[in-house]
Amino acid sequence: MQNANYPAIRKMYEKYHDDGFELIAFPVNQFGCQGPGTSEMERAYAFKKFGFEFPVMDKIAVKAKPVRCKGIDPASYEEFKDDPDAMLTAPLVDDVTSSSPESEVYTFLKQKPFDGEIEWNYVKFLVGRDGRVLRRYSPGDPLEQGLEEDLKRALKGDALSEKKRNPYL
Amino acid sequence: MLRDDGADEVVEVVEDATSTRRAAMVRVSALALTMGVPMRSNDWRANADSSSSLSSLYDFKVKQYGAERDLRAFDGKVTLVMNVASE
Repeated sequence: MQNANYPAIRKMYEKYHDDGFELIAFPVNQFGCQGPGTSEMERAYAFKKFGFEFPVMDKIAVKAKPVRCKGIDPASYEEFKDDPDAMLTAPLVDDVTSSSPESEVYTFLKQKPFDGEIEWNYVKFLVGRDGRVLRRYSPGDPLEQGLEEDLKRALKGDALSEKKRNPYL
Repeated sequence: MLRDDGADEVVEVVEDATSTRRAAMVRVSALALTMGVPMRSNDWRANADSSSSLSSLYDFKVKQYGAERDLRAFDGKVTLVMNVASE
């Protein structure tokens, strides 16, 4: 299900970046503890999977309630970063980002009518040129959810269609 | 009872009433301050400014490569924000 995001978003980025489309990602280790790497590792993974480099910020928490997950000790990363095999055996420590308070950015993104807990990795928010949220999308295929049509409208400054602005309401 | 200087008496009564009202306003203001309620006429505007500062994604600052990054750099763009993971 998540894999659909990589080719779809890459295609849209290549097609619309020059028109003003940007992508921002936040690595998170709160869903099945699936983001155990350091910010640097998660960033490198995102570049590889999406197939291009874009702004991937440092790891944050996006859930209102803290989650206890293990992560790679940043000190170990510094020690083993040039040796991926050794990194596999690096000790895990409590990931302080997963148990941190929800990021203010996500408190903002999850304002009504886009509210509801982030349910898994790859939840997407389309934000207009004025910084206001236009629509929220589930972790699934963005094209099936009409993201490209919404993006084209947003780039033109047109209002989005009247379908649900939050798939979970 | 009417007195020759009744007018003065009225003024005195008005002053008393004003003093009482001032005292009451001071007490209410003190209570409001204790409760964090805005009292000055321009405080609502300060609060509105505070709210509006949260009305744009591009008003936030985040961390990238361990350093602060101002999302103002994306102002005027159409942005897709998502949470990602490696496994």
